[in-house]
Amino acid sequence: MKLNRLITIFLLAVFLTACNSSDDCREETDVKLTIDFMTRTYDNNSKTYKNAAFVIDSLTVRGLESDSLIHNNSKRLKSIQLPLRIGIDETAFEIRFNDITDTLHFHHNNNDQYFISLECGCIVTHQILGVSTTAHFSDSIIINNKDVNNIETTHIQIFN
Amino acid sequence: MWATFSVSAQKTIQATEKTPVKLLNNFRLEADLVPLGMLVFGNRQNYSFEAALQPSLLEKYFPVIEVGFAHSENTATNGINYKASGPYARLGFDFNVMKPKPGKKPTNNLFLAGVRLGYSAFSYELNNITVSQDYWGESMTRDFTNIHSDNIWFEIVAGIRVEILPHIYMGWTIRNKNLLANNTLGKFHAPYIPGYGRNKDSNWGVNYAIGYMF
Repeated sequence: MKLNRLITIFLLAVFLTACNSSDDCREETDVKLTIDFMTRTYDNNSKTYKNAAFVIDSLTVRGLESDSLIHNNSKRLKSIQLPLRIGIDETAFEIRFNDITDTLHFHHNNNDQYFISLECGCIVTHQILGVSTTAHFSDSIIINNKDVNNIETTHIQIFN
Repeated sequence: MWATFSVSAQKTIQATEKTPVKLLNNFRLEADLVPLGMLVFGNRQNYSFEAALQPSLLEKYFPVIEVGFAHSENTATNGINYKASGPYARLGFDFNVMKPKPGKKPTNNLFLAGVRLGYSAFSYELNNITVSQDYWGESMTRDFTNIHSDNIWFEIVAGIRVEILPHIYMGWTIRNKNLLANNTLGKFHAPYIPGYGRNKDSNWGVNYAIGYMF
C-alpha cells in the first residue's frame, strides 16, 4: 500500500515537471549602447569639480546614412540607447542637442557567436574600440564600459 | 572476471563456514523499453538505446553500469534547428530497501534506491540561427555544425524489479537528474544532452526495463 502511494507521487512529479517546457524566448536579446549626458559642476564647499547628470531639453538622433530617426525632438533626456551595426565595425550617429549638431563615430568589433539559448538564438555583441566626435556640443567623451551586450549598463559618458 | 569472483567467494565460505552469503549472487542484464516504445510510437527523428548491467553483491549492494546512445533533433518555433547525438554512460549503485517480512517466503523482487554519476561526450549542431538589427536593416543567418561537448551529471534513482518468469525481470526506474556544470554565459551549449535530456539544471527520467538474471 505504502509502495503504491510512493509510485503515484513519483509519477505525478514526473508529469508535472514534464509539462512546463515552453518555446518562448524569455531572455533579454536587445543589444543597445547606452550613453549618459553629463556635466561638471564646481562645488564651492569642497572646492572640487563634480560630475552630474545633464538633462538635454530637446534631442534628435538618427543614424548616419539612415532615414529614420531614433529620437525626434525628445524632451528632457539624460540618457539614450543606440543600436550598433552588426554587419560592419563602424557606426555613426548624428545627434542634435537643442540646436547644436554633433556627429558621433564609433569603431567597434562584432561578435556574432554569442549564444543565448535554442529559444532565443544568438545575439551580436560589440566591443567599443574607439569613439570620436565633432565636438560642437560635446566637450569630452569617456568610455565607461567597452563591452556592449544584453546587460544594461552605461557604456559612454558625454560631457558638455 | 565473474567466474573468479565466484571462486573466491566460494573459498571464503569454506574458510569461514559461517554465513552462506556469496559475494556475487547473480547479475541482471537489462534493456530499456522506453526508447523502443518511442521508436515505434514517436517521430523516429529522436532515438536512443540503453542497456544496464547490475550485479548483486552480498545480497545487499547493487553496483550498476548503464550505457546508451541517443540522438535528438528538433526545430524551435523561431526556426532554429538542432541535432545532438552521442554515447553516454552512468555508474552508480543501488540498495535493496525492501526488507524480507518475517514469516513470509523471501522473494526475488527488488525495491531499489540509489545514485548515479552520468557522463556523455557528444557532438551537436545548431542551424538556421538568424540575428537581425532592425534599425540598420541588417540580418544574418548562420549554421554552427560539428560542435563537440561533454557533460557530467548526478542522479537520484528509485525503482522496482519484479521476477515475472523465472530469471526474467521487469520494472521501472525513475530518475531525478541534476547537471553538475553550468553553461558558460554566451558560449554555445547543446539543447539536448544524450542520457540526460533537455539541457536544464534538473530533469526527470524514467526507464522501463526488461532483464535477464544470470
